[in-house]
Amino acid sequence: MIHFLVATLSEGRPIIDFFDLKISNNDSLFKVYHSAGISLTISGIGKINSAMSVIKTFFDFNKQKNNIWINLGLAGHKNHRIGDLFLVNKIKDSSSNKMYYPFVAHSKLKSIQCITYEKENLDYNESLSEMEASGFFYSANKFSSLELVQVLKIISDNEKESINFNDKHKIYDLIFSNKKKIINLCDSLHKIKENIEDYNLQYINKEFEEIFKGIKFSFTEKQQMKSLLKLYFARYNFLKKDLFNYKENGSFNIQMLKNFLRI
Amino acid sequence: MNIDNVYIEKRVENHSNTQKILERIKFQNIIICNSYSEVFNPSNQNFRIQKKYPSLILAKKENSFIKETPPDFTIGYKKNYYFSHMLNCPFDCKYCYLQGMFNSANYLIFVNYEDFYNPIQTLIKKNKEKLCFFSGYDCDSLALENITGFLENLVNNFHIFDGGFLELRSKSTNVKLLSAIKPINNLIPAFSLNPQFIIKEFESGTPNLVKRLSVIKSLQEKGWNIGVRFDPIIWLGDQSRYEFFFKEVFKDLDIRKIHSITLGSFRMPTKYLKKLSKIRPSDSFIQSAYVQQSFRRSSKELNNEVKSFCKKQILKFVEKEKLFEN
Repeated sequence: MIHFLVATLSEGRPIIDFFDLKISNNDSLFKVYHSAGISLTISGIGKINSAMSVIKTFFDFNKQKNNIWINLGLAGHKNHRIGDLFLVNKIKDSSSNKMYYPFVAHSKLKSIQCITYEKENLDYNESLSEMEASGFFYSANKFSSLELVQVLKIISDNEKESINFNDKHKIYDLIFSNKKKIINLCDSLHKIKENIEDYNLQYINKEFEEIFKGIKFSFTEKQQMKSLLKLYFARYNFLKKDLFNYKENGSFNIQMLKNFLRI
Repeated sequence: MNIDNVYIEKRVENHSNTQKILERIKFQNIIICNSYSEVFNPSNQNFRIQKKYPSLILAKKENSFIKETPPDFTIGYKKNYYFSHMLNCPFDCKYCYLQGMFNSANYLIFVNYEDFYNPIQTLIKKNKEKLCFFSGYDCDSLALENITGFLENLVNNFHIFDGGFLELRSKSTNVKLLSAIKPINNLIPAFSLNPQFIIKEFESGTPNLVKRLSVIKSLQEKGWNIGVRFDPIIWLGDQSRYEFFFKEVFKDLDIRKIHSITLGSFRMPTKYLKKLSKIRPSDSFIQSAYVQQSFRRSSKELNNEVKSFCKKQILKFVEKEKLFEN
């Protein structure tokens, strides 16, 4: 699943249209939209809001680890052209001086560093100026591997000119004109995610709870059974449920699986 | 070599080796960092993904240049040390312990090569016994030489090893530099070998057995004494295939020009194996090893059997003084 986080509804509107998202709650704190496989959360401005909305999204969507997270938004820069899109390769939090390094090795998009400020920054420099990335990245990286957490920024203002931030249509057009790049990024992140083979770990945990709900396991037995199940799934696709005797205890069933796997 | 992103510690931005390395590669972005640990160490990153899209990190090593090897790790010398000018390697061996040891698969190069030399020289001078140093412990010594230029630098300063020995361990056939220079008595190029069916299944991206043997042979012909390393020997049963393998290895090599042979079985600290079992969930070899450890079942017995079989095969070709078990 891909979770988009944007600061304002104006920045979210094009995403809602790209992916035909429907509102899933009308929460007064964070509005969330979704369709199958995509969600969009409107975080509000600032890194704290951004971090909180990541947590809210994570819990709203079944606490799934290693989903894809994208913070999309507008940013200022000394001289880059309005409308240019960048992937962020380094985030500096202006108040803590803490650095974060999103993984951008997979993408052919131009990448750049950004500084997350507490307040609007009009003292433009060589880094993007914005207000959400550090909170977003810190928080999303708790739930997903670093490679799946991306910050995507579109230039809205520079030393010479700025868009009118009250002009919703202008913001819509800026983001909409980058539709192809945004969708390509989503595709490449899906491909990257395929390398994280955690699906069977999650499946094993689920299966374990399901199959053995009536059977008592000590802590060590639980670990042992899970390691055997991992080996089982490395060799076979489907679990034969008649492998086990549900009237017997954990230790007995461990032995049964060991025999089957010839351990 | 194409590397999209190069992370450079600010303090080595202008180091001559940094500049040389940048001239040798094609890259898209340079990203300056304060310390390599900001990029290399964070925990929630995925080794498998980074193996596919590695970045390069250029940094300065500040301390712990030389470390002692585990006891019993030897090629015939009493005191053994290792050093790593680089962490990680371009090959992708399933059994590699680096996957369990590091959070990142990015290539980390410590560009201050010259700072390794003093501690080596001091150690050699302080000891009366012959010391042996191993390179290629946390990386492959030769695979990325075209980028690092470390070996070239080392060879130009090789007097620091006077009174000591250096082993360069590799699976690579990148021996251009070694082929071009006169053999050095106390420099031992060493090559890790496994049967071809193991190389195919377990050592992704590495040169095949025929290529490795041909490189060993050519270096021997140029006068180099070579280390032959069966460590770890990956055992999948069927003794005849391994018997054939040892014959294949030794039939063309000049036995007199073999410096030493080491034999070791697959072993890994529990912590690393646990991590490997997470990042390679569909690999039955790793999962099987993990199960053995979960049941605290010693694989020593099997390992001893395997080692004893291999030893017997090796000793058909080489005198026992050259064989060391690790």
